[in-house]
Amino acid sequence: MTLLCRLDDIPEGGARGALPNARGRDGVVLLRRGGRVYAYVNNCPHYDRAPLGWRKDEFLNGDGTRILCAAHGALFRIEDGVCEIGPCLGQALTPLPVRIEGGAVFLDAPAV
Amino acid sequence: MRIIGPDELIFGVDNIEACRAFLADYGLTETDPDRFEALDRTAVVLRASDDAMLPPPLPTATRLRETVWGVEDHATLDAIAAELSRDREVTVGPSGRLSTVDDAGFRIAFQVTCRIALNLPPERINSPGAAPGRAPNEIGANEDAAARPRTLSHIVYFVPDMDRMANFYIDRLGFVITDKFTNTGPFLRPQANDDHHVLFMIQTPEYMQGLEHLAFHMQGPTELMLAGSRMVKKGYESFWGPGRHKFGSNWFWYFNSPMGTHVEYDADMDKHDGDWTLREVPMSKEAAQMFLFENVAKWAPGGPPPGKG
Ligand code: FES
Repeated sequence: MTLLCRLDDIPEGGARGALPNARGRDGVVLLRRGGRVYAYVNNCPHYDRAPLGWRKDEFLNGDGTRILCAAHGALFRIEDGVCEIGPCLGQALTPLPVRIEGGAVFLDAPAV
Repeated sequence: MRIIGPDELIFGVDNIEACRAFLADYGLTETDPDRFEALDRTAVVLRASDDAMLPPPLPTATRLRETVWGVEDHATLDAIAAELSRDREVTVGPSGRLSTVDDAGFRIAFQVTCRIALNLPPERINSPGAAPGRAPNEIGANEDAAARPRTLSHIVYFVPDMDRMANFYIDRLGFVITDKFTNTGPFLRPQANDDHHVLFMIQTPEYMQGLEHLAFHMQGPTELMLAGSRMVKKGYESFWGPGRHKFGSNWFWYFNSPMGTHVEYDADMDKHDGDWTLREVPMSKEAAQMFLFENVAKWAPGGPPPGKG
């Protein structure tokens, strides 16, 4: 298990990047909704090297209902990562299992 | 037809605060509310996606609503109106701006250009064997340089039929192809601009139609690196670059943006005239750039290894 962040680091209804690589790019996108935390690999299915956000911890559309790919505007459902509109239509973000323990969020899988 | 290049790109967005912050940090100046200008007054314009004054959106993910082309004079506007009204509706706005649609369905407009002539120094370098670019004691590394985008350089569309799209701009508006990636798309230059390209397109399925990126010209490679490094420092997501393209020779550095399109800094693009013969190669990683770098954290050399001092 790899520690990603404290649960309180992710605002309810918001998003946060975690697991930065040597270059400072976050490998994981975390989203918090109604007590649940969803985690995805921070890469758009459209390209093999396409981080989703436009700025540190900025991953959502205007009303916070979808994950936005800030490269070409694809929108993904938060609950299952499925792309509803955009270049990767019908494809999905790669989900990651997370575990919440003692107020901390852990990646429940080998580090990405 | 004396078309110069894109004057203005109009977006309909649902996250206008984030877009404002991005464009200001990128180096554009907000001159009117939600109009972000480069030094020559070419601009990116933001509107709320439900603004009734906006042209309708495409049924895809793109937030681009309209591309406004600048032309040299009223005679050119008249010629465009006459040419395009043969097979489509062309409306004239209060300021004389023509609005219509291109053959791919993008909303386009034409106006007598808003650009002002710039008279600014180039990047000046000292090169052995050549006259020095800077006077003695004149410093090249200026960390405080403003690094403001000078002019809207080019746009790149995802299009479902690149030949149909290219032919519209070539046959109806007088653009010429400078170079071409086979099966991807051509680089196009209008008649009143000698830049290698103001328009490029990438062939995609219909559901992808939209804006791949927009780019502004910077003074030179140093200013491009300075501006890009500042963006990284502010936490913005670098997408590709810095590097140098082959076709067009321009230095590039692309960033993700809250407008849902890449926004590029470019510098030192080739110029062409009627004597140029187009080159064509298949798109590949090799062909897409001469070299590619990635920003890393700052570092400094020291003396002996740690603990050996
Ligand atoms: S890289 Fe995400 S939509 Fe293109």
